Amino acid sequence: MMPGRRAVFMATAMLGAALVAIALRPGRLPEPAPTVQLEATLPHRINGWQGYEVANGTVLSGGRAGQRLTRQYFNQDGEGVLLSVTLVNEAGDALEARRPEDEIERMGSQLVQVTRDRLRLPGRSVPVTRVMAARGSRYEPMTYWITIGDRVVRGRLEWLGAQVLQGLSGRPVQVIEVRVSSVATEMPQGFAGHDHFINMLVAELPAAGVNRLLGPKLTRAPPET
Amino acid sequence: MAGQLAGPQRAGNLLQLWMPALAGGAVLYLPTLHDLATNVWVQTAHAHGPLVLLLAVWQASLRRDVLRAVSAGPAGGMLLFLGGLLVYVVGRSQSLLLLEAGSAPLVLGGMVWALHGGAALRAMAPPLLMLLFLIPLPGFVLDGIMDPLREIAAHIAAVLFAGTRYAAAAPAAHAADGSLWLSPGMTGLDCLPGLAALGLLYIYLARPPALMRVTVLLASLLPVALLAAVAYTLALTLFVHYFGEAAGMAMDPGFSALLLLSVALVAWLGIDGLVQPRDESLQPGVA
Repeated sequence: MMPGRRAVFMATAMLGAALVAIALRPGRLPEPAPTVQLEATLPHRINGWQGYEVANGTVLSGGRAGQRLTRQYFNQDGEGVLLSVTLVNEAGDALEARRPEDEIERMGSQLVQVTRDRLRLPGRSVPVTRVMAARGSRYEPMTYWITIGDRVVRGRLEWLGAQVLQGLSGRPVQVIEVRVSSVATEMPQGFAGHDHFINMLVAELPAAGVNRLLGPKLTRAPPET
Repeated sequence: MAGQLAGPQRAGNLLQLWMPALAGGAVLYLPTLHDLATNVWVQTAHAHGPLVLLLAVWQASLRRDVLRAVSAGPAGGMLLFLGGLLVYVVGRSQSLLLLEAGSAPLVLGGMVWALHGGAALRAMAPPLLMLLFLIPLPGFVLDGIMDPLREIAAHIAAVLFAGTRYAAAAPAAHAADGSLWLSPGMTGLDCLPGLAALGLLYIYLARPPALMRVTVLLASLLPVALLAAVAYTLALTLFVHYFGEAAGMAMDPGFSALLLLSVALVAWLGIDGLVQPRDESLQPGVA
């Protein structure tokens, strides 16, 4: 190809790329499922645990405005668990997002341990992140996971990949972050309490809510043990 | 050299050759520049963007003679160009400015390579690489650089002013409960990564590029940034002491940047001045 014709070809390709970029914006197709209403979806009473509203309002997450509902649940023995669900209807920049463990040191707590784990639920297993933080003589274990569109992501690259795939498919990119945390005076040996609470929570949720909070894809049946 | 040369081009022909490509480039990157100018360059941490862009354009114009060789050249250029376009499409459509801005060196480099051959691409590499400084740093990278720097600067200010009447005005990097809390005005430090970028460009542009000088200047990047940060923090402490917390909060970011730039520049010129005579003694033949 002669350089002159090549230049014309390149100009055409650039014009095409600009148009394709406009055509591939997320949100051109409707949501596959109605938007989750946090307040209505999350039950106030979970199998003997009573929930109390701590906060419900708009927060900034990854540069985008989102809705966050935080509730504290207590059982009859006075044990408490903090449940915080954040929902952002438009994915911010994956590279701007702060993971919960990034926030811990900024909040003045000490990050003891971050591990990746799988949460076993009836019929599925969800990839979660376990964070152990310490503040003074208290320990603050946290279990969290993030779903982008319909998949659970861990780490920035996974987030970026899910965001791009979901966005290119044309659907709005909804981000949901679920955190379950508690406070202990001694370093807990495990996160069994969180798993128990999440199992109870999931049992109370309607099927659509479960799929939205846990992601229908990338979840596998738990291996037989 | 890859590709056949089709003889020297006159300026008119060169413009004719590049006219369609420049028009296409404008369609791609004018919206990107608009986004950068309205969302990114207004942040202290990325305020160096327009200056770097001007430097890159200037450096490219100094090298325009290499574009006189017209190559019917290698397929690599076209591949680089098309790969860059792919990155652009993903970045632009999904609002990932990092990818969108990051595609510019690939697209432009691919164009130079495909139209003028590998030698032209090598000659144009420095201005193309300068465009990398236009890519906005992700927040977590910026935090990783700035959090320790702020803490060190605040710590040094606290130590220096301990026991004096200025102690109360010294900025803190942490609130009483230990959480990260920035004193008003401390965000002015955010322009330091930009200063470091300009420092790197200064090393490249400063001649002669003697090994000793480049090494010393590179090694001084971090200490100079720290020095500027400490000087800035001390100035901020005195400012808050005499004019009050509110004035510190209202401190103009432009003024902060100017103060940091001055300190860094003076330190740099000083270090460069110290290194230069040694260069000449090492290379007595160089005029």
